[in-house]
Amino acid sequence: MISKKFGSITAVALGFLFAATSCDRTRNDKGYEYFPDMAHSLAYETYATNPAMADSHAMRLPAANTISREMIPYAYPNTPEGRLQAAAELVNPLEATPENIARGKEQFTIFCIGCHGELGNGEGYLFTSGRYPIKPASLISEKMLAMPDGDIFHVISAGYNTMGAHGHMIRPDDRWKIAMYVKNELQKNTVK
Amino acid sequence: MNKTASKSGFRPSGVILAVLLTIVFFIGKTGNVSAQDEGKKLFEKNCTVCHKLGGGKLVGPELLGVTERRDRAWLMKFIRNSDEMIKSGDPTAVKVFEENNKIPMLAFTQLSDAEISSIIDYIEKWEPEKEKVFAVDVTKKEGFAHTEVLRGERLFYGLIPFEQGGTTACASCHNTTASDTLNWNPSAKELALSFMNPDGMNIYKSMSEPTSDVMQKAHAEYKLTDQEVFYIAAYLSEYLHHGETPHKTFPVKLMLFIVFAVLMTLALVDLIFTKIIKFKVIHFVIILAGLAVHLNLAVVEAQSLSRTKDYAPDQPIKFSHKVHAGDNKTDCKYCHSIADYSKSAGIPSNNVCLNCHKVILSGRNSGKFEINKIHMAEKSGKPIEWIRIHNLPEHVFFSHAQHVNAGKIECETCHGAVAEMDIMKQENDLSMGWCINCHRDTKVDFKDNKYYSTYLKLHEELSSGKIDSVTVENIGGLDCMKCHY
Ligand code: HEC
Ligand code: HEC
Ligand code: HEC
Ligand code: HEC
Ligand code: HEC
Ligand code: HEC
Repeated sequence: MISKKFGSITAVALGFLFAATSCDRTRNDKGYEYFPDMAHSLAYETYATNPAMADSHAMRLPAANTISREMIPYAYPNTPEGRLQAAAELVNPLEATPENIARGKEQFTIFCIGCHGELGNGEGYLFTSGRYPIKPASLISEKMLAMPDGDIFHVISAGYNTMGAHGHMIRPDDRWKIAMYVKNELQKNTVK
Repeated sequence: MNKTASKSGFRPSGVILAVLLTIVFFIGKTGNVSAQDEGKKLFEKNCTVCHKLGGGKLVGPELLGVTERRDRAWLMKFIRNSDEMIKSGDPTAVKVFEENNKIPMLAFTQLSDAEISSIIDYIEKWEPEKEKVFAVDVTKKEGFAHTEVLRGERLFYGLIPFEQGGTTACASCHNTTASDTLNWNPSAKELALSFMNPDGMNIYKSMSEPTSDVMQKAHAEYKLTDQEVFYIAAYLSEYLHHGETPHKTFPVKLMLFIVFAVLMTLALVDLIFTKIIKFKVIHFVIILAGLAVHLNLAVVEAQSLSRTKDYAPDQPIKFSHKVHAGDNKTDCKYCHSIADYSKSAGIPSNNVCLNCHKVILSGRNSGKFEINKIHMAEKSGKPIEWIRIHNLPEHVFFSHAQHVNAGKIECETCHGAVAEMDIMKQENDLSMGWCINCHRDTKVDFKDNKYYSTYLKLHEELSSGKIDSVTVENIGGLDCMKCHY
């Protein structure tokens, strides 16, 4: 009898012990782990900190005066002269096939439409809804109609005025395809 | 000092009372804006991105003294639409245009004549800000007397009124307890951090002249004396030492566990000793139900070990996917631009934020406080340390490129309704079962998606009608080494 009573008391006590170590997380609480032997990487992960580095970044820039494989550094600076030079020298290496233009449209929709608008007239949703106070440039103005693909490629890559550089977000081929889409679709539609 | 300050705490009822009182005091305070204020506002909204007053050239030329250089009619016309003037060959306009590297100024056709006029008035009358003199030592950040801290705490919790009006407790907006939902107002902790940071705010200045529309509205009722701000500064300085009270949820599961444990014990005791209830079935039912509940709790808890479903931590900046992906309609890949090519979807760097926030300096909900953190990080060169949410164990390989680019799966399938989340949350448990079930059920697009053209045998079987669809399982999606390399 006594041993049974003792047993139930231990059971309850054990129960409390279990309950006190579990459950009811707030949103800031990750919860518990058990035997996380192979769960955490020994090598530093993409965005982790690396205490061995002076600035503690795990992701490193290439050493000075080197570039990573297959990377072509962008040579034209974000200045009016740089833009003129880029427009004069850069030639679109791709052909204006329907696939390339469709890809250009897809990328335009991701990266440009918010400011420059569906028609490229500078009336994107961010501007028309009053969130972005400055009117973005129109891509179908007379000035832009006269500019070659290379000019658009340059502005995407290096930025212009209050527009930041988008070169690090969009791959070179996709930048050319966006330029192609602007030239072959948006601008042609307005001329009609 | 530490101990007394935290013990001296407040009574919650006082806060509730203060909150109730605010409702009465919020009504009807809309200060009338003078013409100069109007001009200042318009200038700051439209022009400060490109022009400085008394600070040299930015994108456009220095505007201090422009009202002496040019006559008013010219200015009106130029600000309205400079492009037109340049095209029509106005010699001054062409000269200015050429002097500024031919960067065009924006047209402001949406502004009325009166508005442009008020901007010009503002430029004309602008003077460099005089160093304001405060009645207290504004540089003091540490070593406040205990009484000063206490007084600051009471003011902050609204337990004693301010001398010149304003009864709402600061703590009703600037929460001192971590909140479970998104509180757009800076928390007391963040105010304290900003106050202690040498590059952070000057609390005396921001309390006397609000830095944004949102703050102007929120702080409209206050006119704090320098001495009162000093007390509050003392409290904020002290606050960091004892820190934020963590948010607590009501322990539902723990209660459930205890209730059934007690019930089971009582049933057991009655069954063996007291024997009050005649029908033994009742005891057994109670014990069985209790065991079932306990077992269920144990299994659910054990399964969630090492997994972080529903984890939604506070981030260093109150970045909201609802505002950006929902309200602003920005595409996921604008920020997570490497999702198509890489294992990781990528977290945007500072300059991605700045593409927009170079110009958008203030948000509707949070004012300038949050967006300012982006600019502070840019200035100091320290990256923003976002807290990672989704994280698979190291023994699992997962690639976004494979799912998003090759498989054309929408982000929402795995991450839930991100565009409605103010705080990013892990929607699925990312367990192996979750992956495998999806691989069994998901059909692969063999018709139009060229990525799969090399699966010749499956294509043959498909065209001969032997199978009617291909799932991820068929192309090896259940092989252990696909996910565990
Ligand atoms: C996108 C950047 C930009 C914005 C925004 C902007 N400006 Fe300008 N502003 C310029 C540039 C560039 C010039 C040089 C003239 C030119 O190239 O057309 C200029 C020239 C001027 C001039 C003539 C200066 C002179 O020396 O004669 C005035 C006046 C002026 N801006 C006023 C304003 C006012 C007022 C606003 C706000 C309503 C404003 N600007 C907004 C870029 C900008
Ligand atoms: C304006 C830029 C921006 C846009 C647009 C955006 N995100 Fe994010 N996203 C971020 C930032 C910054 C973080 C890190 C902070 C956080 O977790 O809230 C993040 C975090 C995330 C995370 C959690 C990462 C982790 O730590 O596990 C997911 C998942 C995510 N985003 C999915 C999406 C999806 C899906 C969309 C489109 C509906 C989207 N994002 C649109 C900037 C953006
Ligand atoms: C595509 C443009 C764009 C990008 C990129 C962007 N934002 Fe925003 N952000 C906005 C707009 C538009 C608003 C809303 C402004 C308003 O309320 O009027 C906003 C508002 C905010 C707010 C205030 C929210 C509120 O309602 O008070 C914060 C904080 C913020 N952004 C942080 C960030 C961070 C951090 C990043 C980088 C990961 C970022 N933003 C990238 C456009 C952008
Ligand atoms: C109705 C809500 C509300 C109340 C009450 C309130 N505040 Fe604020 N406060 C805000 C908001 C919103 C901001 C952020 C606005 C911004 O940065 O644009 C803010 C910002 C601040 C800042 C930072 C300013 C800066 O320059 O970064 C300080 C300091 C501050 N509040 C102190 C106080 C004090 C002291 C009280 C009590 C006397 C108080 N607040 C009461 C909403 C409130
Ligand atoms: C098939 C399901 C799935 C899809 C579709 C998916 N994700 Fe993820 N996402 C995950 C998983 C699983 C992780 C955790 C990865 C890890 O820990 O290695 C993750 C992690 C993330 C992260 C955190 C950083 C990282 O990459 O490790 C971000 C940001 C993110 N996803 C954004 C997106 C966006 C944006 C999309 C749409 C373009 C998307 N995800 C589509 C399953 C998915
Ligand atoms: C579709 C991808 C996928 C496949 C295929 C897969 N796994 Fe897993 N596996 C996972 C994921 C994701 C986890 C991590 C679950 C978690 O965090 O709880 C996991 C976890 C595990 C674990 C548990 C490790 C632990 O610490 O709990 C074992 C064991 C395991 N897998 C074995 C296998 C075996 C054996 C196979 C082949 C029959 C296999 N897996 C196939 C995705 C997969």
